[in-house]
Amino acid sequence: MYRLSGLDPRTKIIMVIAISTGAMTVANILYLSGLFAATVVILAAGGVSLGRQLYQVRGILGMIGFLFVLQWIFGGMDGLVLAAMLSVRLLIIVMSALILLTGEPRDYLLGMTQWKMPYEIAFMVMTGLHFFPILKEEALDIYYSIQLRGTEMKKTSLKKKLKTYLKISLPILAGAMERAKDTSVAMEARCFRLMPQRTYMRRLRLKARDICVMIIVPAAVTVFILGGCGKIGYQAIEKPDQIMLSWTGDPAGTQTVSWHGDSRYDGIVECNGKDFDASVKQVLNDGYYRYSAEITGLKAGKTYKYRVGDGRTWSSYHSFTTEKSGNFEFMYMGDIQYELMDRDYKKWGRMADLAYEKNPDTAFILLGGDMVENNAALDEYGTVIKYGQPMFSSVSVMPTPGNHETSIAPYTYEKIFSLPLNGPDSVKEEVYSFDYGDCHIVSLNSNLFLPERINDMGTEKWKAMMEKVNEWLEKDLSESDAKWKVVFMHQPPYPVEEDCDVYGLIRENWVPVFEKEGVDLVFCGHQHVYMRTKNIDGITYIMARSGEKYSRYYKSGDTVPDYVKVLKETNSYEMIYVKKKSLEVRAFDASGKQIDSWEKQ
Amino acid sequence: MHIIEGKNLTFSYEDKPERHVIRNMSFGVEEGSITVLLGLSGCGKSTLCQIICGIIPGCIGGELEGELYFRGEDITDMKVNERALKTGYVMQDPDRQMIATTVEDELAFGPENLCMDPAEIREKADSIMKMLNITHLAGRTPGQLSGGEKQVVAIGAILALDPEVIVMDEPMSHLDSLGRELVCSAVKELKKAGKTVIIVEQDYEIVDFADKWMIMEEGVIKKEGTPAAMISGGPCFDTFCR
Amino acid sequence: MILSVDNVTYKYKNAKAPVLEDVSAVFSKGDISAVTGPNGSGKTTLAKVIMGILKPQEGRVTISSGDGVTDISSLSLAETGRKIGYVMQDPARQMFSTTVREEMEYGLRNMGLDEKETEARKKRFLSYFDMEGYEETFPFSLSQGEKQRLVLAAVLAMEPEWLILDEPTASLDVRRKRMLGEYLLKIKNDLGSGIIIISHDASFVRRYAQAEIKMTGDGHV
Repeated sequence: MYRLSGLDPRTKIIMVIAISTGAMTVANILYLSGLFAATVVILAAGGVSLGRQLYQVRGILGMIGFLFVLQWIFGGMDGLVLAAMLSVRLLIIVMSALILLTGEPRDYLLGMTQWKMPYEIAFMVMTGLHFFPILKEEALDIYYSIQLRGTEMKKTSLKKKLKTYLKISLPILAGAMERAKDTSVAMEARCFRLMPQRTYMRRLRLKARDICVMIIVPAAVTVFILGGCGKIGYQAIEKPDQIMLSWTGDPAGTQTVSWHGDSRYDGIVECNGKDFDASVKQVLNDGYYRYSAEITGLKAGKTYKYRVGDGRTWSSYHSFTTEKSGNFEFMYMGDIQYELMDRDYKKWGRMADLAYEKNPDTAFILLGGDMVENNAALDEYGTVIKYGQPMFSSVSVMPTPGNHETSIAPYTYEKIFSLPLNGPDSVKEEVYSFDYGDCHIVSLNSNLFLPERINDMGTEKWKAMMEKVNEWLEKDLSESDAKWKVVFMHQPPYPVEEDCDVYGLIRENWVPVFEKEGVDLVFCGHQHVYMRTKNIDGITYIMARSGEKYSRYYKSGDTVPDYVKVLKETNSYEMIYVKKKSLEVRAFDASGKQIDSWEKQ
Repeated sequence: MHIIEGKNLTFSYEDKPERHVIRNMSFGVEEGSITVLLGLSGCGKSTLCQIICGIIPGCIGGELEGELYFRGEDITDMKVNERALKTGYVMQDPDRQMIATTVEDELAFGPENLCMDPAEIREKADSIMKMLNITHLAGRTPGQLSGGEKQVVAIGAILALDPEVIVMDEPMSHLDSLGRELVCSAVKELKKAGKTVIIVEQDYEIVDFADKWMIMEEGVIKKEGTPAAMISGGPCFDTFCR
Repeated sequence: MILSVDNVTYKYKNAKAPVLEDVSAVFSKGDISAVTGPNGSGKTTLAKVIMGILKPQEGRVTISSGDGVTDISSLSLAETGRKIGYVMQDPARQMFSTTVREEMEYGLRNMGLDEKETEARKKRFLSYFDMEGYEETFPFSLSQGEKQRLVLAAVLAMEPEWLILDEPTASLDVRRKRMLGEYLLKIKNDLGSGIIIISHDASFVRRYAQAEIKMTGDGHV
């Protein structure tokens, strides 16, 4: 077995540097504890008894205890972990110093000099070490003398004590200076610095075991650091959350899953016995990562279980059902926007739970925009998805952007949601369509008409883009041979209050296309009321909100356009029943009470 | 021929330029002899030692006039660390001249500064320890040595540089009788090795084997001669009677 | 009037054996007593134990005077310093002031003496040791012998009943040794202090001490 005292001092210096670096760079309590245990073993195996090790750290045990108490009071459980890490780090460093204590200072200095440290430094240090105990003794004698001369040190004020210390600094300094002078004379008298170099009678030679240790210990510590920092080995991740389903492809054979993770892993969806790789996007620069994967090869009308993770850490199992043939129903929810975030989202969540409970066979959910208040607030998106559980992780959520998701364009929204990319080139994911059963659904971004968008692009470019969009819309609708055509967007073509130009622009650009291509139903939101229009040229327009924010566009008593058929101030969710022969809409309030119904044959 | 010769030396310290500690002093020391410098405190004997070794004016400031010769060569302006190869200097306080942490390192310190070959240094250290009978102290640290042992080690450390002249400034004043014995036997070894030794001492009885005494008073040599001659005569000597 | 050391045993913290083992001694005030022995026999340790700087593991030191017996361990160092003056081997460890005058006055002020008394004692003791005229001198520029005299003067000015000197002859020449001897006799006769000299200088002890306590190499008397 090796003995630490038998190792070259330079080897020991390397060991201590390596171990201390390891202790300082890794921030994982498990790894640090492991390093601590390793240090104890190195010392014990090398001839430093456990008792001696304990003795070394006895000084800082008190400080550690104090640290723990402080952190616990101010930091709770997290604080304790932090305190534990700091304490273990301290222990490791103090203990590794024991490795150094197995050698003589003169050996370390000789070793450093052999490694090209200037010898003057070595001598300075050595003289210092040499004289420190002597100076200490001198200082003590001086301290006793001044007391014997009548200076009381017990029960005196701090000020008096300080004055006394000042007074004895004179003889201490004088003594030290004298000593220094004599020593320098002695050194000169021994030809110190006569020549630019000097030789050494003793030479330290590195033996085989020194080389071994000098290679093994830093290598081991490097591996340790890489592991502890998560670069290698398995680093446990946070459980994935904010799971949301959608479709980017055919609802009959595919299912897209997106979730929030911590970016350090490659995401996988496990479903139907297979793993599907996820792509990951960083949303904003916030450390918020959104994974999304598409499950393919599914059979229509079947229920599948799935879970997401990295292959070692998984979410719990959720399930979904692929497109069923025959009649189906889906849900629509308008603005979820809040007055007070957590309270209102919670309330909305309860309504969503109720809606899902009453309609467990909902095929998918359409969201009408304004889910959040601030377009880039990741915590708001996260909270909506959180309160949308369990529905959001069991049923596809197909949204449209509202003005509150928009900052010129809905940048953040596009990263949160994974949507079909079949829209017009310049506005992919802002505009898309999909088919389910006998229903063709188009999601339009009515924020394209906002003045910010127009000004940002310049009227020329914007006009060109809108032309393409309108072209696409026409093509998309005309190519579909579904029985029912449903469109949804955020701003209403037929508003309750005409307070800006957007509505007119929608009517100008899109409504003619709807009418031409036989759209049956248009959902929208924005003005925070439930409003159903009369049949306008074959199309019924339904506006709704599902959240708590009251309307500032309509107050009871206001005059209302004459195309308004039903108007209710309450929030609601809508169920749309798609049958072969009919399309039915029923609106329910937060308690599940029906507030409106409509049907088209 | 005198190995050390001083001609018309005059010296005053920097801070007291009016007071001449050494006044127009001339002297000669014979090769291979043991000379004892006696005198009351303040007479300038320590100062003379320091001049011989070059500590004055090398490390201590002041006005030095006159010349110092080593084997006929004028070494008045030679630097301390060069001079050390000719004249070694042992101080009064054993604690203040130990530089290294062990005895053998102490003996090696000088030769190491001279860039000697490590094997040669080891040989030299061993031979000196043998000569001074301190081989058993080789690995000891200063804390493990008595005052007398430390002084002998200091002598050994100087010896390692092979100076022909060794100057000792009251080496025994802090030692007890045991320590003094040690140092005396070391000095005897020096003489056997052919070195010239100049010792400053208070107590003439200690160095009873001296070849010559020089009594200094107020910066000049008042009297010199062999011990026998000195004891038998002269009122000057009586001041030293116990 | 005696200073009594009773069965004192003292061991340094990390040492294997005690430096002083069951040491007892009695010093009379009327004598100059000497503690002799080779270096390392514990003489300085004994001095420090007597002064109360070191606390013995066993035994005690007492002073008896007119008003009874006092155990040294019951006094603080400041109080002990007034009863026993201590002159260390290296006087530079006992000087804290920038002038000789200040050094003399420091101890006296600590005793709470008034201006007149302070001035009187200062003058008296400076002249006692032939140090008048040195009042404005920077103490560290004095010669070794002069430093020793300054410390003696400063310590004695407090008029302690006892005086301990640790190796006082170490750096003195023949003449100065004689002078010191004379001073000590003077002090004994004029001030009546009990004097204890710690020394390995056999001839000095022979000449001036009336009582002797020999320390052996292993901590005994």
